[in-house]
Amino acid sequence: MKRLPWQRIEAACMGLVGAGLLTLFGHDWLGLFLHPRFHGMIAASGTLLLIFSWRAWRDRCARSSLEGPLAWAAAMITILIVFLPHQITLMTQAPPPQIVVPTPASTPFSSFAETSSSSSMVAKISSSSMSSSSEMASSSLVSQKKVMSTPPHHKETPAPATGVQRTNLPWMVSELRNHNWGLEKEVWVRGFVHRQSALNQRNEIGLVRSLIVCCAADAIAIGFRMTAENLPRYENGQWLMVRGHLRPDPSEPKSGRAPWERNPDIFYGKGVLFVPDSLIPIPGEIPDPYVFYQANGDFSEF
Amino acid sequence: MTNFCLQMASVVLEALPFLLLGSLISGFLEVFLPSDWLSRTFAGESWRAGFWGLLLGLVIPTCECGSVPIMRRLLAKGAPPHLAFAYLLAGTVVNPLVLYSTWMAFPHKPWMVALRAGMSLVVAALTTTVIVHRVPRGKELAPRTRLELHPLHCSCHGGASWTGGNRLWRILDSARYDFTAMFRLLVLGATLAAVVKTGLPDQAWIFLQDHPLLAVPGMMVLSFLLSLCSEADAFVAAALNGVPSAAQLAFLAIGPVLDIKLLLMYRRTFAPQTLRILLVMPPFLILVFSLLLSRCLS
Repeated sequence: MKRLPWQRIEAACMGLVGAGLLTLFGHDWLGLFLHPRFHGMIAASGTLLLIFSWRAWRDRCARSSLEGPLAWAAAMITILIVFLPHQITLMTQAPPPQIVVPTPASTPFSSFAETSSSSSMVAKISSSSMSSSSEMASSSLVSQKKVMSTPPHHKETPAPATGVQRTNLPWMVSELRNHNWGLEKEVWVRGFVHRQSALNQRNEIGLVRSLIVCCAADAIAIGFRMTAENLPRYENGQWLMVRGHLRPDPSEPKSGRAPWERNPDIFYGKGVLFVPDSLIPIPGEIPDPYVFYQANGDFSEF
Repeated sequence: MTNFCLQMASVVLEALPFLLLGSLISGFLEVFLPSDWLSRTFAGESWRAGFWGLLLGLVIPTCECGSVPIMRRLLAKGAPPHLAFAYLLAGTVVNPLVLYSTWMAFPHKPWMVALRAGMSLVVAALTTTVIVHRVPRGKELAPRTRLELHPLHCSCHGGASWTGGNRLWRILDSARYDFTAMFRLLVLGATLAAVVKTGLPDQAWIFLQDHPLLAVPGMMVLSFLLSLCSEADAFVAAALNGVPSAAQLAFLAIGPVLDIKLLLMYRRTFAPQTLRILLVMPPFLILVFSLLLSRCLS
């Protein structure tokens, strides 16, 4: 064992990881569990590791030991285990679903048209109170052309032609907490289902998104409690596109913790319940499942 | 298994750039800092050195992974131990990035920022004082580390350094030695943290929220086990809105000073006597301060 040139094996591993990091740079996989602000640093690290590897290969002075190659191998294997399934999914993925089945609004939960391929859209808020252009400009996540071109609606639902603001779940939850913002507005939300026993008893489900501060190790889920009456049973992780309203929830305890607040990884909007008007289930996982926390305190997707 | 690998890979990828940055700064110090400059500047003024050490994080803002290589290089360069240990223990909290992220995580409790910084400064000052008084000067580092810190002057080629005279290469080579020594510990620490994170039942958190008396020590243990980056831990603490503020503060104070990956790095870097003080003093002080605070706040 001792005769093997561990020093050179370690140098080779270092080079492989360096080259791997450079390859990953710009790959959308990296955004799946590492905050985008680290992506540039990952590229710089890859370059530096390649230089280190070259120097270590030529280093005749360093001591040889098995620990180094073992550590690099462990790092490489775990990264590959996370990376390969994603790559395979990408290669075999079916095209995004096109669900266009407008049904009469008399049915409590009818589908509405939405192409889930518009990857950056999460929630659309329409309200007469949000029509002021200055107010819209104050948010970095204000509507773009893509969002204004809203999908076809039922006749009974007036299309939100003006005052559409594009934002995302964590922003809404934090603004709701700070300024009671969002109450009584029509909201379109895309999120996944989170079930927990405290909510099951109330016939509710959580509609949440994962928020990343640095990396997947610190991800938390953030969203709203949603009433599930008259809804088919959706399991954990089912992605939904929901149109509805945020209503004050008087049944939530005014002080102390509600039973559903005991799970530390999940944040629900305080004192409100999301009441859906219509929804569509999105098969599989959406292309941008995470929302990222920005250094300036905003939330954004990539 | 996928979840475990996801946790581990994300901790490694997140910490890797900072460890590299810390090693590069350490290499820079090795090449550009004259070997006796620090000891001459602070000769006989150890308390002034300690004071600057506490504030050094404002100038060199790194997370805890980066601070270990910088700190041991400072010590090897003849910096007074006051300065080096004060930087190690306070620099990972009292730095602009960490204070800003704490402020962002607790927008309605700006006093959390002040308390976090204050507690870190007090703990760092007291621990440094004990280390300086109990550990003989020059014996703070493990013998192996002292050897490791002088790799560029090895005598395997008749006393001549194998590396070229170019300063850039000397910085890079010194950084490489520091980095390879610390990287294996980072991977081991990330593995252990991922095991804990994937194996930790939700009931553990709920239990802590229901037992406020146990919340402070419990949160300290969790902070040690989870080994979060000091830049990100404030958001995780903020998410635990059910536990008392004092326990959140304990979580934030102990994490940057002691966790699984730091324990491994400390064990490799410091002599047993130093290590004992580092393992006992900060947790004890943080426990006492947080319990006192929880009485005041309630």
